[in-house]
Parts: sequence; C-alpha cells; structure tokens
Amino acid sequence: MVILEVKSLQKVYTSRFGGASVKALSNVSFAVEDGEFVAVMGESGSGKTTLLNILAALDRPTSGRVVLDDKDVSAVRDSQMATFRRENLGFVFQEFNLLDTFSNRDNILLPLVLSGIGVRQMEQRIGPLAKQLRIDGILDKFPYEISGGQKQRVAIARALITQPKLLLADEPTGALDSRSADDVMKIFQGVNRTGQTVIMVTHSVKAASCAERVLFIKDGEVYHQLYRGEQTDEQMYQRISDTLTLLTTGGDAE
Amino acid sequence: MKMGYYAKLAGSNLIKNRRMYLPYILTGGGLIGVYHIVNTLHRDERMDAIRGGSFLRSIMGYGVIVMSILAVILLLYAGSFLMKQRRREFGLYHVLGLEKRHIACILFFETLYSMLSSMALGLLLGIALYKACTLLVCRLLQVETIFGFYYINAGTLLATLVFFAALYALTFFGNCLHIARLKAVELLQSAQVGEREPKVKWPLFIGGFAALFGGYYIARTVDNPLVGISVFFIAVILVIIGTYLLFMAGSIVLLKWMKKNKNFYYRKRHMAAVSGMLYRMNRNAVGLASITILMTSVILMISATSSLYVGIEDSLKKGHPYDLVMRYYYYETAADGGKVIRALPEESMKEALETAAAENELAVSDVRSQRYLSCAFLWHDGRLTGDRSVMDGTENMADAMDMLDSIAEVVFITAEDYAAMTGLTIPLKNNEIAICNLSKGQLPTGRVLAIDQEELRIVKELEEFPVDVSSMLEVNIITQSYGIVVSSEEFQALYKMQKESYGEYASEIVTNMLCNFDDDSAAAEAQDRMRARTDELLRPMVKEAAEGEVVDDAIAFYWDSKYDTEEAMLETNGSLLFLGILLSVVFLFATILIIHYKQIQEGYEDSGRFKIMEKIGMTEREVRQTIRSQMLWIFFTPIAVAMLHNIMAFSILESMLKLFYLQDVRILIACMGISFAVFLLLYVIIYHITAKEYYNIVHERSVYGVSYFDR
Repeated sequence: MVILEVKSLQKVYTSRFGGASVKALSNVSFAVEDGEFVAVMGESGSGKTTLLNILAALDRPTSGRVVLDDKDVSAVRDSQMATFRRENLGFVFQEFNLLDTFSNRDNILLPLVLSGIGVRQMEQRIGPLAKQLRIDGILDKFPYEISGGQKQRVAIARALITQPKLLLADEPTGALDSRSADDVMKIFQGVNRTGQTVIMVTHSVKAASCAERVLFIKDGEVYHQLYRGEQTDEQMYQRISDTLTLLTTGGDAE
Repeated sequence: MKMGYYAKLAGSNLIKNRRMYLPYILTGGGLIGVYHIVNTLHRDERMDAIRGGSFLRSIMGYGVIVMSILAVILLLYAGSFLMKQRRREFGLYHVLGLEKRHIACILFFETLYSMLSSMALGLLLGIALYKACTLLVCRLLQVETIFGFYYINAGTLLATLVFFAALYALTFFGNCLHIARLKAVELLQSAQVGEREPKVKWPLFIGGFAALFGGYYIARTVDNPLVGISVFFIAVILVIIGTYLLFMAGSIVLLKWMKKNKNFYYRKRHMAAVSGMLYRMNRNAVGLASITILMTSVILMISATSSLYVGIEDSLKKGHPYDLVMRYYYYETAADGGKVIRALPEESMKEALETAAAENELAVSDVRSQRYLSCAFLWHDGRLTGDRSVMDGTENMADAMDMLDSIAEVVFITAEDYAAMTGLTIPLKNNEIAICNLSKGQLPTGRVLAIDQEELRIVKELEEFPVDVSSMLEVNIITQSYGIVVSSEEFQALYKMQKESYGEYASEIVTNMLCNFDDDSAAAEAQDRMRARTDELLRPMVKEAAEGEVVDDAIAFYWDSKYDTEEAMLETNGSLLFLGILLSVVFLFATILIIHYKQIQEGYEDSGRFKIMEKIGMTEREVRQTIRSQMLWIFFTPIAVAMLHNIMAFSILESMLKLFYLQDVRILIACMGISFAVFLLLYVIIYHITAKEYYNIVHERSVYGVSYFDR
C-alpha cells in the first residue's frame, strides 16, 4: 500500500521584489510504500531540504501534490497545519532539538500534551517505547545530563510517541560520533522493522546504506534510485558510493 | 577618522538594540527629570514665601537622598543588564579583530550617546514639569500660586548634570572592567550552560515561613503605636527576609508540587510554563522578591500619605467639634505660700472672646464653657489606681513599655456640663457614673468601676462623649481611655482624691471656652488678630479675678483653633503626599524597568525553546497561550504577595497613622484600595506592552528561521 505519493512537485522561489527566481525543485515524483525506509541523498543545494520542508507540510509547493495516506497535504488549511503535523508526522533533527527545561520524559511526552491526551494513556505509551529505544533508565534525567546518542534516541522516542504515519529524519547522525551514529541507525532499522515508515535525508553514505531504498536528488529532480533487495549493508554502501561518484563527476547513472 | 568609525558603530548599535536601550534611555531621562525637580524644589528659595514651603524644602532634602540612592541602584543595574545581554555581540567583535580597547571605545560612545539623550530628555522633563509640580504643591498645600512660569537655576542644573555624569562614568568603567575580565571564547559562548533544576531547600523554606509569619504576627498584634514604631522595623525586616527566602525556596516547593500533580502538569498551558519557571527560579527569585518589596513600599507609601492628606478634613471635624478651644490660666500665691493655678472666670473669657470677634467682624455662635478632669490611672488588680508605689517598681524602659498597656486615661465631666453640651440629661447619684469607652480597650467587667477607694456604679454606657479627647496626644498612644460623666459632688471628690495620690503631678480641672465661627474663611484669615486681641483683653482681668497675689508673667494662654491645626496639617501632610507621589512614580518606574528587562531577557532565552516547540507541532496560538500563562505568573505573583503584605501591615499602619491624627480607618481603606487599583491598572498596561514585546522577540526569531530543517 502506498502511504506517501509525491506527484510532479515544483518549487520556485521568487525574491521579494519579483527579481530573479530560483527553481529549487523542478519535477519530483516518487511514492513510498507503507513500512518502507527511504533515504534521500543529494548535495547541498540539490533541493533536498526544500523537499523535506514540503513533505513536513511546512512549505507549500508551487505546483504538484503531496498525498499522505490518501489526504492531500496541500489542501490542509494553515490553521490546521500544526495539528496535522503533530498527528501525522514525526520529526528527528540533526541537533536533537530537546528542551533543556524538560526532563527526557517530559520532552517525549510534550507532543501528547499538546494533543491533549490523558496522563494514563501517556504512561501506557512511553513505557514500551522507552524500553525499545533503551532509554528507560534515563527518562528522569535532563537532556544536558546525557550523551549525544542518548539525546537522539530520546528525540526519536518523541517523534514516535504520537504514532505518526511518517517519520521524517533530517541528518539524524550529523551531530554524532561514529559509534553513536551506528547505534542510532540500528534504532531506525529496528523501528522500521516494526512497520514504521521512515524517510531520512542524509549526507552520510553509512547512514543511507541502512535504508531499503535510496533516492538521489540532483538539480531539483530525482536523478536515480537504488533498491537494497537482498544485499547487505556493506554491499549497499559500495553501490551508494559508486552512484555518488557518478553523480558528482556528471556521468549517466548505470 | 577611526574615532568617527567607532562613534558611528556605537550609534547603529543603539538603534539595533533599541528594545533594550529605549527603556534604558527613558529610565535615565525619568530619573534625571525627577531628580532635577526634587533638587530644585529643595533649593528653590521662592518656596519659603508660601505657607509650608520651608517644610516642603526640608522634606525634599530627604527626597534628594532617596532619589540619589535609587538612581545609583537602577542605572548600575540596567547598565550591567545590558552588558550581560550583549556579551555575544562583543565576543563577535573580538573575533572579528577588535581589541578590547576598541570595544571600550565603542562602549564609550554608546554610554555617551545614551547619557546625552537621557540628559536631554530629563532636563526637558524636569524643566517642563517643574512648573506643574509647583502648581501641584501649591494645590496640595492649599495656598495661592505666586510663582512665575519657568524657573531655571544654573547651580541646581549643574549639580544634577554632574551627579548623573558621574553615574554614567561609573557605569562605563564598570562595563569596561566587565569586558576586560572576559575571555574571547567566553564572550562568544551563549549564556545557557545547562542550568540544573533547582533543589528544594527546606531550611530556607522553613526559615522564610517563620520570618514571614513572625513579621505578620508582630504586625497584626501590636496595636500600641509607640511600641509599634520600634517593633515595626523588626516586622519590616522579618517580612523582607521572609519574602526573599520564600521566593527562593517557596516558589520551588510550589512549582515542584505542581509538577508532581500530573493531571495538572501535563496540560499544554501548564507544562512549558511550570518547567520554564522552575528552571529559571534560581535566578528569578531575587528579582521577583525585589519587585514585591518595591511594590509593597509604593502602595504603603502612597496610601499612607494620601490617606493622611484626605483625612485632614475628617480629623479636623472629629478633633475639633468646636472651631475654637481656648483657656486662660494664671498662677497666684495661695494662703499657705505655695503657688496655685487658676482659670479666669468663664464670664470674663466669654466676654473677651465675643468682643474680639466683634472687633474683627466675625460672627460667633455656640459660645460655651466646658470643664473636665483628665487623669491617668493604672489597672491593677481589677481596679484603677493612682497609687504611685505600683509604678515605682518600673525603672527600665522595657517595663515602662509594658506598663503603657495598663495605663488608662480617664476624662471626667459633670452631668451638668454633659447636659449643656449634648442636651441630654442623665440623672446621677453621687456614686453613679455613665461611661463611654473611647478606645479599643476593655470596659471593666461587672457594673462597678473601682478607682482607688471609690466604688462607682455604672448606670449607663454612652456611645459618644462630648469632650474633644482626640486632640490630646496621650489618648492616641494610650490604648485604654474612658470618658465618664459624674455628678458635681463626685467630680470634686475625684479631683481631691487624685490630688492626694499624685501630689505635685496631679491634674487640674480644665476649663475651656468653646465657640464656632459662622464664616470659616474669614475666621481663618483673622485667627492671629483674634488671638492677640483676646490675650490683650484678658490680661488685665487676671488682676481683677485674683484672690491672692498674681505670680508675675506666669500666664498660660491656650488657643487651639481648627484653622491653625488645618494649616499645620496641610503643611506636613501636603508635603508628605507630594513626596509620596514623586517617590511612588520613581519606584513604579523602577519596578517597570526591572520586570520589563527581565521579560526581554527571558524572551531571548525562550525564543529557542518556542522554536523547538513549534517544530514539534505547537501552534502559534498555543505558543501565545503558553507565553501568557508564564507571564501571568511572573507578573502577578509579586503584586499578589505585595497585596498580602499590605493587608497584613494594615493594622500597624493604622495605629501609626493615628499618631498623625488619622481618625477614620475607612479613609485608609479607601486610599489603599484606590492606590492599589491605580497601580494594578498601570501594571496591566505594562504587562500588555511587555507581553507583546516578549512575543515579538520569540516570534521574529522563529519567523526568520522559517525552515524547520534550516541550519
């Protein structure tokens, strides 16, 4: 079943006084199956941040549509946007974006509090999730008391607690050392195995090699994609780096 | 060239940071303006020409001292606040290659600019409003304005400017020192380095509670104003300590308790606010406590001074049932060779008064005499006693203070006089009395009042007593006082009895002449002439009336007119009210500045947090609500506590104001209520301005960072 469908997205930025216009996305189309783990790769300026902003319902496309679970995202009214995001999407950021005034538990519970969910249900949800992400021992500590890897796991828990249709991750390993990065990628794979759809934007070949499919974006278009199939992480790594070499040297893909 | 560059940079810095510098310049201007006004009033010799002017000048002398202290505290506080907020900016300059002395150079120009703008604003305000202030003073003192328009005294102007220039110089050097001590990396580092969640400090909490309730207890229980003044300071200090400790520890206890209550805490309106406040409470507590103390003092100050002023008329009415009270005494040698005091015959006094009034073309009415005997007794073993041996045991002050509470002042009048003054007759036998409780003290239990060997049976309790006792200072200090109506024979018996007990300290029977004037303003104007003429008329009568030989020049002429009292009250109470208004305005400024800066600082700190919350799905409306609920707490806790302090201080304030002849509690209640309402109104306005500012800070940052995934 297709959970996310992106149809011929185009995004043109025009400067305020109508001068030069910049085409960030020229024509992007792809579909994501329910339970898929997709990595989006591309160089700086390739348009992947714009794509992610549009997927996050934060920015509106100039033309084209984003359909999440049969619902047209661009048709959601501005006033409903925050609620829509909170109910349907989970976010993981490079800089964790945890609030240091909250304990880790409260950071994770915040989206539920915003949705007005009762205390009992919150407690029911946080227990198994914390166990799964191995953060049950640090729930009552504060973000400034734990390591970067732990912070990212808390952030993942915060993204997952609303049981989102789509988990969007932006360079989730960008601020982590290699060991914590591996650890976090294992977590993503584990979360994905439980059926969670994940879309991750990354520069890191290592991180991308954990995904089932990798989309390459260049000059505002989907330039190429790779499927994992039966390959191991290592084989996937090799293919991704070959593709990236091609991408940057300008040759045609395969 | 180079200097010009720094000067330009400094100018653009001020404009860029106008959110912080505008309040700074306004506060500086306000302080300079008010300081200048107070200082000019203090030095303006033209003030001596108006009634009460010289008293106002001397009071303004204290005003100058208070203003100086306040100006030093506020400007240094604001200066160091600005420095702390701009640390990163200076760090950036440093990294870009400006040396510390260059930064000092920029600082110099910034300080210079803000000083010059504040001075310009302040002098403009000071000079423009000086006229308004003198008008207000004249109105408060109820004298005619005699001044021309603007008054500029070069010496005063210079003194003001020099004082503030020194202050700004001090701020500048303080800031340079601050910059010099910082390291480049530290300059760049943002302020937040994982502040720990504060722990509950139980000893502080318990200590705070004890201090606060100790202070409240003292304030509520002391009703003797003489004891009150000495104890009042202890109560004030206890309450201040309690306020600080409870804001430091109590707030944390309260917030932690809120946090523990999950159904309350996990609500979108409470969660961010509660944890945000808890996180910052270590830093905030002192500021909030200071704001509370400032507000408490503003409300106390303005309600005390305004009720004294408003109460003038009422206390005149109560203190002077008759427009004029007069007595005339002389001393003559007695048969045994000693001196005795004698009053002139009532007819002579009446005649002299009426003559003097007629000569001054004043119509008098209700001219009558009044006799009373006022003496003090001690409550001892359930009876009043004049036995001096009971008192002899008390040698130190503390015992004497204790004894104050058991002193009762008793005013006796005869039933004839009572009937003459009130038109009511009370038939009284020799050992029977009618009693009026003039104080909050206890009436004797049972129907018998024992005064030494006399056993007096109470046959009637009176609601009102016709003798003007409130003008006697003793009655205001002494907690128990009674007015007693007795038969003429009993009156004489009591007089003799106390004469025997007290000997040379005994009281004499007072004979007063009372009268009313038909035309108040004419009477007020003619008081001095009336008084002199009456004296002139009465002096020769002493010789005629004397039975023995008159002791030379030993004449006691007592003249207490409503008009003289009114003038004196207007003079002191009007001056006090004016000072109260000025200081309240300045204190209010101080409160507003501190709370405004506090919120701006928090806005900058919170903008990152709200950005994160928006990222994970908080709507703009929810951000507004959270901000509002957080700000409501920060703003209105101090004012609620200040209100509580004032309510607790009410009774001690009331008894102290009695010393200044404030009679009617309702005036104090009304004045306090109105001051409070006005203060609250201003405060709500400031709250709205600050909340908007805070929201803009939070909002503009998240608007600029529109992309969620933007770095």
